[in-house]
Amino acid sequence: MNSGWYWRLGTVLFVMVAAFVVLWPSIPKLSTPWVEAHIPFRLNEGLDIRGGVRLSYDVQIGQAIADRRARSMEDFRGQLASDFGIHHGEGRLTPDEITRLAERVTVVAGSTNREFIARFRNAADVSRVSDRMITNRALRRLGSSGNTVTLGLDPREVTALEDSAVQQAIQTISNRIDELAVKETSITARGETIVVEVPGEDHTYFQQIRDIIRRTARLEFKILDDESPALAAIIAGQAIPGAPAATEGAPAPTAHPLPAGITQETELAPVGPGRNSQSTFLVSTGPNARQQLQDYLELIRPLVPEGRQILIGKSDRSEGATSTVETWRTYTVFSVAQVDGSMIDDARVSVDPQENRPFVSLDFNRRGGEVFARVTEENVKKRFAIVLDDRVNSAPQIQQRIGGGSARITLGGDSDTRVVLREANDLVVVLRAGALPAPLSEGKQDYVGPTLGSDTIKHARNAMMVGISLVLLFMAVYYGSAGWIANGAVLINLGLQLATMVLFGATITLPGLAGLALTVGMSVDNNVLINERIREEMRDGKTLRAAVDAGYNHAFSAIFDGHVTTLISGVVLLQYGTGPVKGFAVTLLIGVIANLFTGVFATRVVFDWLVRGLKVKTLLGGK
Amino acid sequence: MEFNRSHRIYDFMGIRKYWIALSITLSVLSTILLFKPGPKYGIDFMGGTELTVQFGGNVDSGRVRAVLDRMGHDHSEVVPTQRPNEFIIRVEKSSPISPVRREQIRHSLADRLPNTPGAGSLGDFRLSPGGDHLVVQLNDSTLSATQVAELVRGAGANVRGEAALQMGALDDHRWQVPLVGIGDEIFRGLVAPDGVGADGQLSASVWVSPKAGAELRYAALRAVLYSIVFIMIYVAFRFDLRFAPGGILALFHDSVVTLGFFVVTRKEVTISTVAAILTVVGYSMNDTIIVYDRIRENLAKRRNSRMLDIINLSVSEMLSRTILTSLTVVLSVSAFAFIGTGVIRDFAWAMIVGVLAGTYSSIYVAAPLTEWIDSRFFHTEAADPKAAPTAADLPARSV
Repeated sequence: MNSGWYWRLGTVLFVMVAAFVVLWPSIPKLSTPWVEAHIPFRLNEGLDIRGGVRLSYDVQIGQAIADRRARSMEDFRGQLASDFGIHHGEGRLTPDEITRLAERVTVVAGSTNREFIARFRNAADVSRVSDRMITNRALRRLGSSGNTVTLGLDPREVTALEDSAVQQAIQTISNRIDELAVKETSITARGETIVVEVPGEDHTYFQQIRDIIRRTARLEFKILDDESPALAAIIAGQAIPGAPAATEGAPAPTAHPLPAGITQETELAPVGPGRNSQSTFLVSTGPNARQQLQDYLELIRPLVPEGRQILIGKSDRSEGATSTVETWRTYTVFSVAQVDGSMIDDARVSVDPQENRPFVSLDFNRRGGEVFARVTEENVKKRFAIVLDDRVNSAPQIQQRIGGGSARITLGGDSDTRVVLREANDLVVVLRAGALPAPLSEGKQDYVGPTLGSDTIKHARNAMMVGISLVLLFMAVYYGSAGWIANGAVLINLGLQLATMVLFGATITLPGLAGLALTVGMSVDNNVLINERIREEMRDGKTLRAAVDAGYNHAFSAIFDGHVTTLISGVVLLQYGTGPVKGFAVTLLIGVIANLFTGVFATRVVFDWLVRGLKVKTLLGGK
Repeated sequence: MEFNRSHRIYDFMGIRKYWIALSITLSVLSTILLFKPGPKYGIDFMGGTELTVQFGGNVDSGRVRAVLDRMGHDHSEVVPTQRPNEFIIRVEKSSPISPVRREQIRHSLADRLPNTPGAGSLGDFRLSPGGDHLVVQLNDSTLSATQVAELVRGAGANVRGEAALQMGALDDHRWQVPLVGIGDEIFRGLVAPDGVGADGQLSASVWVSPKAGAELRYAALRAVLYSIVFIMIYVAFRFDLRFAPGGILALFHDSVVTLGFFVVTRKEVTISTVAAILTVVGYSMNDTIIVYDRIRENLAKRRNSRMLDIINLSVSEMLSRTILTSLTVVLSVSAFAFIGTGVIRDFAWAMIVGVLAGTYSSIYVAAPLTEWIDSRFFHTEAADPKAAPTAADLPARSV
C-alpha cells in the first residue's frame, strides 16, 4: 500500500471521528455529563417533534396609519410649496423651503391618526386645495372653515394599509429570521397578532430572535437645524416664529422650565461653509436620563415649529479616565427624512482598522446614491443625523458632497468589542431584511409541546429504520461483500449529514427524517454506478484490480455531472428561496458533499485495500 | 445476484411513440388538473382555525387527536402548552361569513350607533378572512368592552363571549369582537359525552393565516426556474446543445405528473410537498444526466451508429443500474408510505411517484427528445428507417 492510500485512510478516519464528536452529545446512550458539558453541539428537533417557544406580537396598525398620514402631510406640503412657487422639481423640500412655506401655511396633525389640518396665513389661499389635489393623494376633505382645511386619509387607503401591514410585518420578520439562521420557524397571523414559533430549548437563541423581531429598524437621514432658536425660546417662553401655536392668536406662550436633571447647553455648530452658530441642546445624565428627556420633549412637542423635530440620541460622557456615565442629548432636526431605509441596497459589518471597532457600512441603491449625493452637496458644512428608530445614532458634519453611495453607522459607545459586534450583526440583519411597517408590541411568551403525537413520531422513526434496513439488506444480497462496502459508506454518509446539520444549527423535522431515509436510498446510487461499471469492466476481461480502477474512473464522469447539477440547483435555491425552501437547499448541499466524500472517496479506500492489500480476486457477488 | 444478466440490448426506442403519447397525455392531463380542480392546499397554504382549550380533567393529546379524527379533522395539530391539560388545536376548516351577511351586520350596526349613547361614529368595519372576528372602530366612543360586544351582538352578529378586545392605542377605539364559528363546533364535539371525557373551556378560537403564503410558492417556482436555466447552460457546456432541452422537459414532466398525482388522489399539498417536488426535480435531473453520460460515451465510441441505436445500447447497458437505484430509493421511503401517517405518508407517496416518473422520463422523455433534435437539426442526411439495422442486429458488446 502506498503512502497516498494511508493519507486517504487518515482523512476518512478523521472525518468519521469529527462527525462522531459533533453528534456525541445527541446520542443519549453514549453521552455522559462530561460530554454534554464540553461539546457545545446539539441536534435541533423541529416544532413537530420537540416543540419550542411561542412568541406573540401585536402589530400597532394605528401607528402604521399615523405614519402614512405623516407621509401624506409631507407630500401635501411639497405640493403646496410647488403651488406657492417656493419649490421646483421632484425632490424633497430643503430646510430653507420648509421655513419659507411655514410663512404661508402650516400642516399639522389632526385629532385622530388619519386626519391632518392645513392652516393658511391667508384665508384666500384655502382655495388652492383643489379636489384633484386631494383625490390624487388618496385623501378626502373632512371640512374647511375660515383659513383651515381638514383632510383625512381615504378609508379605502386605510383598509388597504390594515390589510397589508400584518402581511408586510410577517414578511419582514421571516426575512430577518432567514438572515439569522436555518432553523425551521413558523410565522403566522391571527388577526392583527403575529405568532412566531421557534423550535428548541435554547434560551439565548430565543432572546436573540426576540431582539431581532422587535426592532422597527427604520433608518432615516435628517439634516440638523443648528440655527433654530426654537428650543431656547420654548424653554424661556418666548414667541417662536413658525410654531403652530403662534398662528392662532393663542394665549401668550408660557415658559417651560427644565425639570431637575436636564441641563441646557450650547455648542458651536457648523451651519454652512465658513459659518458657525451657537446651537442649543438639552442634556440629561444618569439611569433615568432617556425617560426624563423624552417626557420633557413630549410636553413641549406642540410648540416645536413647523417642519422641525427634536430627537434624542445617546452621547455617553466619560467620567474620569476609565468609567463613563449614561448620557442622552437632544438634536433639533428638519423632520423631512432626506434619505431613508428604502434607499439602502445592502448593509454589512466592517471593522475600523485604526480603532479595531466594528461598525455597520451601508451601500445605497442607485436612487439612494443620487439623493444622498445631492443632499450632501446642498448641505455642505452642516451636520446631518443618522436616525435609527427615532433615535439619533450620530450627527457628523458633511465635509463635502458624498458620491459613490455609502455611509457608516458606528455603534455602542464604550461597550466591549464583543457586545458591539453582536449589536452590529443584529443591525445588519434588520437593515437587510427591511423595516417593519408598524411597531410591534410584544405579547406573551409560551412554551409549547410537539405538534405531532408521540405515536406519529414513533411510527415515523420505525419507518425510517425499516426503510434504511431494507436498502442495506438489498445491497448486501445484490452485491455481496461489495454491497457491505456500499452499506458502510451509506451509514457514514448518514452520520456525516446529521453532523453537518448539527454544525449549521439546522432543524430536524419529521419530513426531514423521511428525507434522510431517502438520502440513504439515493446515496447508494454512486456505489451502484461504480459497482455496475466494475462488473462491466470485468466482463470485458479485466482483472478485478484493473476493473476497480477503470470502474471508478469511468463512473466518475456521470457521478460528477450529476452532483454538479444538484449543486447548481442547491446554490440557486439557497439564493432565491425563502424559509423552508432555503432549509431544503442547505440539506441538499450538505448531501452532495457527503455523497461525494463517502460514495466515491471513502469506498475507494476500502476497495483499494481489498484488491491491492489483501489481493482479493473476486468481489461483487462472485464472478 | 444481477439484473439483465443476459446483457441483451433492448429496442427501447422502437416503441417510443406509444410512451411519448402516454407522457404527453399524462403531462397535459396533470397540467389541466393543476388549474381545475387544482391542488388541495393544506393548512400551511390555506390557513385554518386555532382553538385554545383548557380541559377540566386529565386529558392526553392522543385522546384529543382521536376525537378530532373521528370528527373528520384528520390533518389537525394538537399542541400541549406549559399549563397542564391545555392544548392549542389547529384544524384546516375556517368559518366564512358571506359578504351579504357582513353588509347586513354593518348596516344594522350603523343604524344602531346614533341611538346608543356614547357609541361614537363607525370608523372601520372589517371581517377577518377566516370569519372568526369582526374589527370595529368606534371614533370618540366611550363604551366599555362588554358594551361593545353587546352592541355588535344587537346588530345581529353571533358574538362569542361577553367582551370585545381592545386593540392598539386606547384613543384609536379599535375593538376586536370574536364570533361564534367552527371552533365552537369542534369544542362542543370535544367535550361531548363521547369526546375526550372531560369538560373544559374554550379560551380562544381564531383564524390562523397560512404559514407559507403565495410568496413561498412563487419563490420556490422562481428558484426552480432559475436553476433550470443554469443547469441547461451546464448541460449544453458539458455535453452539447442537443442534450439540454430533453433534460429540462423531463424535469417539467416529472414535477407536473407528481403534482397531478396529488390532485387526483386529493392528497394535501403542504410545505413538505414542496420539498418533495424539489427532491423529485433533483432526482430526475441526476437520473437523466447519468443516462446522458452513457450516451455521450457511446457516441464517442461508435461514431457511425445512428443516435437511436446508441440510445438503445446506452439505456440497455444502464438498465440494471436504473432498476437498482430506483428500487433502493423506493424501498427507502416505502415504509413511510405504509407505516407513516399524515404529512409523512403524503411525502413518501410524492417521492415514490416522482422517482418512478424520474426514472421513466430519462428513457422516454429526455432521450427521444435528444434524438429528435439530433435528427432534425444536426443530421441533415436522415437515415432511411427501413434500411437501418434494428437494435437486435446491432453487435452486442464483446464479453
